[in-house]
Amino acid sequence: MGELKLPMLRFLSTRLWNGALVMLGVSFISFLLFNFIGDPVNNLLGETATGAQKDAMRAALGLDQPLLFRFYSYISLALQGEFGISYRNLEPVGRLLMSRVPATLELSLCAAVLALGVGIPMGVYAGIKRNSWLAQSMQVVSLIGVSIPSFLTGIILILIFSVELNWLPAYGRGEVVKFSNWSTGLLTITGLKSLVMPSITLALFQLTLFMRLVRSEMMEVLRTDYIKFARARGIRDRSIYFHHALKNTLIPVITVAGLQLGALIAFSIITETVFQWPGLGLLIIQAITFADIPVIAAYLILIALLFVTINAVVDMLYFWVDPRVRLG
Amino acid sequence: MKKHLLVLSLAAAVAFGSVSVQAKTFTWTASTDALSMDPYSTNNSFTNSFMNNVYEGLVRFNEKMEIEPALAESWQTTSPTVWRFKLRRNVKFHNGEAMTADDVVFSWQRVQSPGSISKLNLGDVKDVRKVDAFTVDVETKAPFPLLANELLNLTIMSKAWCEANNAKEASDLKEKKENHANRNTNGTGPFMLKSREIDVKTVMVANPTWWDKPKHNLTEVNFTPIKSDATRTSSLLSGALDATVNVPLQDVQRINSSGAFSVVQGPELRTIFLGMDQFRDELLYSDVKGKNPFKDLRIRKALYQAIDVEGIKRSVMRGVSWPAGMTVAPALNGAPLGQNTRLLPFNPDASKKLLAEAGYPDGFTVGLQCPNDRYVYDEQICLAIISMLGRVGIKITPQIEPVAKWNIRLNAQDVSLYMIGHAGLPMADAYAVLFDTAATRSKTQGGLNSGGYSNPAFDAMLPKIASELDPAKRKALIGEAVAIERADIAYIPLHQQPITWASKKGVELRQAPDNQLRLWLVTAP
Repeated sequence: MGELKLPMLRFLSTRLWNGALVMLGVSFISFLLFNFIGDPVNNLLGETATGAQKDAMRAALGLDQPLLFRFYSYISLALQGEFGISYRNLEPVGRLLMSRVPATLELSLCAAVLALGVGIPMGVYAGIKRNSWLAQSMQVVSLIGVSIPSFLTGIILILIFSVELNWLPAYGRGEVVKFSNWSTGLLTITGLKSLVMPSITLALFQLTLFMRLVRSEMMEVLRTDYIKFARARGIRDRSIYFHHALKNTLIPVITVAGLQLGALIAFSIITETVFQWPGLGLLIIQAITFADIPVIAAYLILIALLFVTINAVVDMLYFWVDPRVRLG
Repeated sequence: MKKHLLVLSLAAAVAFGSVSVQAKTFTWTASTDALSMDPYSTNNSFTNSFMNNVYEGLVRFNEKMEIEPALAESWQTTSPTVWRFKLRRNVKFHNGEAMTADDVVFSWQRVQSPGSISKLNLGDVKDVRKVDAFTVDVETKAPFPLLANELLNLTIMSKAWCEANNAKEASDLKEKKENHANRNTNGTGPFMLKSREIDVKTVMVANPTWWDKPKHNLTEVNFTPIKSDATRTSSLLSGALDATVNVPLQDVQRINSSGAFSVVQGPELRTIFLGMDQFRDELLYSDVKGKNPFKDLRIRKALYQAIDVEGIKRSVMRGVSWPAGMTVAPALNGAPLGQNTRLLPFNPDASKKLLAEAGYPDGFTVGLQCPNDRYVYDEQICLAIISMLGRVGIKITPQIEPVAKWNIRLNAQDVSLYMIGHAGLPMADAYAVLFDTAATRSKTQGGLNSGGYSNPAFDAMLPKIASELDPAKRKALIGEAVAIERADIAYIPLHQQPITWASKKGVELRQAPDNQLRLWLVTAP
């Protein structure tokens, strides 16, 4: 590991620099877009306010100033940690976003665990026992899982488990336990119950994706020479499948999983809206409807940061999993 | 004998006492959350109605939209511009301090602070002065008959509490600073804020020292906003909620047939109507070059007669709308009820004839600007109108947008034919509708008159109405003004839209046409 120190440092610093550029680019593009998302003034003052009142509010919010000036003042404040206050509920934006992160992260991690924990074994099984009836039915179910939009899955689950059976709550996180900046629903019964349906809804697409990916990768790897030689050598099936073959199928899975985890977090919008899950997704949807520019700007920067970090972590994982990869 | 009486009366007291001390938690929902707990920092109608359960003004509306005394016991005019209000004496804020005239004067000063948005609705008040500990004088800029209605917007906050908590001024968006009052309250109202989690849950408890006799039987109120329509209805049907104040029309039948829930529907004060560009020389989004067909009264009449509001009620609004003959809802103060009939009958043939007469025998093309998430079934109504107008030869290019974008159009007058609505709130008076939608547009009036309708005769009526103190004369003047803009077909009125609430059977919600849930009137079984 010692001989990797210098290249590792070089790698990290390149990543840091690239990441900063990406975030600057994303914030600039989002500022360009703000001209098109709508006018918050009517939402703040009511649409019946007079022209003079609306102009005054626009000037107070700085919305009538040139774009580059607004961008510059926003970035200089942002670098000091000042993200302004939300137009919608007058809360400081930084605090507002941070208060929503635990909800989204918890939901995304549960969904990721579900997707990986069920999807990968299913994929391995379907790859090994290709023609069994169980594998064939998994294929059919996965097709359904990929085709149904997530809001429909969510609503169907609510109808069955909430309205008909009354087993699970239809909205919210239930009781959460708070400590320092974090809040978790994993420590209470209502919290756990509230996690079930949203996690399934969010995980379903990823689960079927991983299943199909692992299955096809597995089938590919099992055809390679080194597997054939291992079999010829007499190595046990279980060792072949889970020690040799699975490790190699994991490279593309890790890449996809990394990208998808970022997508899970960023785009849990629909699931959070359906289940009134108080996370980042619900926040951004409400911000867009209201034209709550400070929240949208900060959210986009946060998401850019998230994707940059996840991609960096994914790249570093390659070392650990595949000894053939070099930093180059 | 006395001892027996004493024991009997004690027993009776215990029996009656125990019956009334039942904890009753009421859980309700709406599609959005209240924006802020600071009553002066927003002008959002849902937030205002939410906060009216915690903060009160000198007067309030009952469920029949009549003004009744609240923190003021009585009032009278001492001069054409000065009104003297006698304050109620035994009123306490939620933290136990007594309310006096100092708090009223402080509230007036706070509402004038730079960050306050409520001050937009108090534009006719010049000053509020203390006369003695329980009397204040309110001076208006000019003789103003509706001062009591306007004072609904001035809810009373505690001077001592605001000063102690650094909240002397309202939360200011420009300063980017938040404020203790944004999340904490100290009002005089029937409910006290216990906890507030934005977009998650807001909890209120009944105020045991409220000055009024409670008509409600609630001890705790939980509010959770649920944005998704389907989830909201499902949550109600699963029994997790007691009431909801946003029910999409398509769920009404399902809720009614469930057996354990009931739907409450009534007309809202909001009237929906179509506006037309009447100021440009060349119509936007149209194939007509060099002129503006909507400037011709015959064309406006043709459009009027092409639209079947009864058909819209039947097939779009599921039978629940109140076809309108004017832009002013009949329940508004001063509304001329006799003019709420359709000016012209629905008659597509007459419409085609008018178009031909005006020089458009083959009709013309024009854009229709509609919001898709602002009014009840707004997009569906627009789509129905498109086919109705198509029948008489007017080909519509739909421009259906979310509210944030449609608002920009309204502000910039970037319209040709557009859907708009007005509820006459917060004062619930007809004048507001006329002033905002039909007064000649300028920086200080006609804020909603994006089509630029202008008639000097109509404009001349407005100052007369604004200063007429006699209610009967005022109503007559309003009638005259409405007659002018109605004859001009300044707008094509469609209907009053429905307010649809639902609750568990047995819950009394006391719905009023201003769509406000007055928790102090709600009873649960």
